[in-house]
Amino acid sequence: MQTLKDLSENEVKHRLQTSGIALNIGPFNISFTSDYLPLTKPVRNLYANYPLLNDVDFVDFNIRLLRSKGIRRYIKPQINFYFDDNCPFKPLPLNEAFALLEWGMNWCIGAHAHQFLIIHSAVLAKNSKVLILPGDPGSGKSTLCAALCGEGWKLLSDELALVDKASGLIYPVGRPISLKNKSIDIIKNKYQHLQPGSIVSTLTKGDVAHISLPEYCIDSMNTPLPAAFIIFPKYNSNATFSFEALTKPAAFLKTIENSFNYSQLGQEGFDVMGTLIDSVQSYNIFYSNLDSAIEFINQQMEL
Amino acid sequence: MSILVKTWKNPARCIDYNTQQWQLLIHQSRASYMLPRMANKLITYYQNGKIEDRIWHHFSSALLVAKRQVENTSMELNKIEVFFEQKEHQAVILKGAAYSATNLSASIGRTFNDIDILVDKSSVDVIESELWFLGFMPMKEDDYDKLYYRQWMHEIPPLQHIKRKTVLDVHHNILPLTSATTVNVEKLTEHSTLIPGYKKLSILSPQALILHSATHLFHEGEFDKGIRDLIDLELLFQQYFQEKYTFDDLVTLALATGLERELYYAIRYVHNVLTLELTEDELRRVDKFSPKKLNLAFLDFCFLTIFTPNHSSCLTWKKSLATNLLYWRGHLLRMPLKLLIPHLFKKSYMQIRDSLKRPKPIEETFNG
Repeated sequence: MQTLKDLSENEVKHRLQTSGIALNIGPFNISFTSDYLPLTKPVRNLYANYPLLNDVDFVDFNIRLLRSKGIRRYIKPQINFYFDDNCPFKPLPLNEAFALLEWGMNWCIGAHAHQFLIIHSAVLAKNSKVLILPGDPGSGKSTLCAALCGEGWKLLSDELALVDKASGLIYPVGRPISLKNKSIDIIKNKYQHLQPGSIVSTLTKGDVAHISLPEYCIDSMNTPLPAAFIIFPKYNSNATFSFEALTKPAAFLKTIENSFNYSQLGQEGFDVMGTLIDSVQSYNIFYSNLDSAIEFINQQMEL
Repeated sequence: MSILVKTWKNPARCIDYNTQQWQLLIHQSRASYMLPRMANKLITYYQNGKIEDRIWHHFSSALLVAKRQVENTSMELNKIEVFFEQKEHQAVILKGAAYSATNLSASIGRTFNDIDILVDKSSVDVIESELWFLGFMPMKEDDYDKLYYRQWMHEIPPLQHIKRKTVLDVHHNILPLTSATTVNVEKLTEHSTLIPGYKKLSILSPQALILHSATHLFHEGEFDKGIRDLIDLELLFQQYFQEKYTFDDLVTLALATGLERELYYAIRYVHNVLTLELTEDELRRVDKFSPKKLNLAFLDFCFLTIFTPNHSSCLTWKKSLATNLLYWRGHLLRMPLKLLIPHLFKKSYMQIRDSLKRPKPIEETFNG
């Protein structure tokens, strides 16, 4: 199967401007074009190992990233995200183009793929058992996720848990891991094999950098797995490590809060969420030290 | 003809569609607010295994969102009903919310952004102030906007629920007070009937439903939902004739309300763009409501061009022209030039002033 790294830089540039870079990402086929050529570099680095689509493949989401016209072409240049003809977000500064592509893809999935119950969380697996890490911004979810990945866990997604409504299995939709601010250095220093790409300073989220998904995660992207744990991380620089087991109802309510489309799914959402919560053990963990969180999670997985 | 209209008219074609055709159909339907409606049209082909899961997910997701809206609307209407019962008000529910509350075929997969209600002009102020207690607050803050609505419009500024964000449009007429067309609203609402299960909320008679939908569409200035609205009319006509209401009653009410021209447009464009089965005799009978030949030629150009999917695949120079012409026509129908020109100046000034005053905040995008 052809992957993006099989294409020359010129070919990627050409496709980016014309027919689009069309990739298979887990259960979705996504294609994007852009008139901003510097996107070529992060795309080639971070999507190198993803399978390319054929012309006859059905594309779920067609994305375009276009520079603003007129005066915005020259003064404080901007980039716009289009999903088909629709422009759901306000433009962002040009240097945030790749981040906008990533956020935009998350939006496409979160707002349209209601064949899944979608939870805003990092998803990892070890020994074919899935760990869901929901978390609000600032909870340390992304850092913990990258660290577990550095420890050899399989990353299913750093942003979206896709719970199949029919089978209850979790579908991988792994894409580059996004790190922010301090966690960029923490991960870079701790795991030599996870090297973030160039750092971009953004208006809303501070510094952002992406790490490409390890190849073994991409290879097994079409295999859904059963969920075993939901752990709500809470990072606090003063905390000593502690954890508490959550009752089923408490875990249910907390997971709903982190779901993108629970209310859209109605009764079905309630049933799927119920089955999920019944099949997992749930914990809150409080930590300041990554290693203690990792140790706890590893212990739970081996029980 | 666009793939959307072709498929709508003859859904069986879809079994031969290749990937590219499916993609185009989904794109056009989504852009035209037609994806859930199309889903409902195609569902039997999916159930018979003629549509792949991978493709169907897009339709079923849209259908699910539309179904949730039906539930939410019914909840809002229940709350309004209880409140109106206490306060002894009544209202006629209009358009999308009305179709949905009475399960008209036009409601299946039809999404809408706000709930439109029509109340008696004399009670508008009381109802508005009382709706505060239900959590519905005005959205427009600007003094000029408020004045504009009060003085000239057929509705008060839209209200929004503070928690649920539902938007409620309270009308006291169906066209702006400044419009050249005057509508006899008493006649239009005369045979309204209570929505089953409700004591205070009604729906227009089947004849009036068609006339109101037509009036709304053919006085409009923006047509991004044009094809969806024309399909509303097609479905309303279909159900009307299936339920054995007569063509005569429709014409009679059009004459009584002063909406015969609007009826003519509805019949002409549903017949030409979509499907409307009328006899030659019936078609002839509305011919006398037609505008002058030159005017009709102009409108034919505009409407036959604009009633296409709101998607880049259907964008031609003609469509750009028609969009502009209809935008101005819409404005001119709403108010005479001597009011319109000062209004547009004032609005442009306000837009420039606001854009200088504060930079627009960047909308919270998905967390990265």
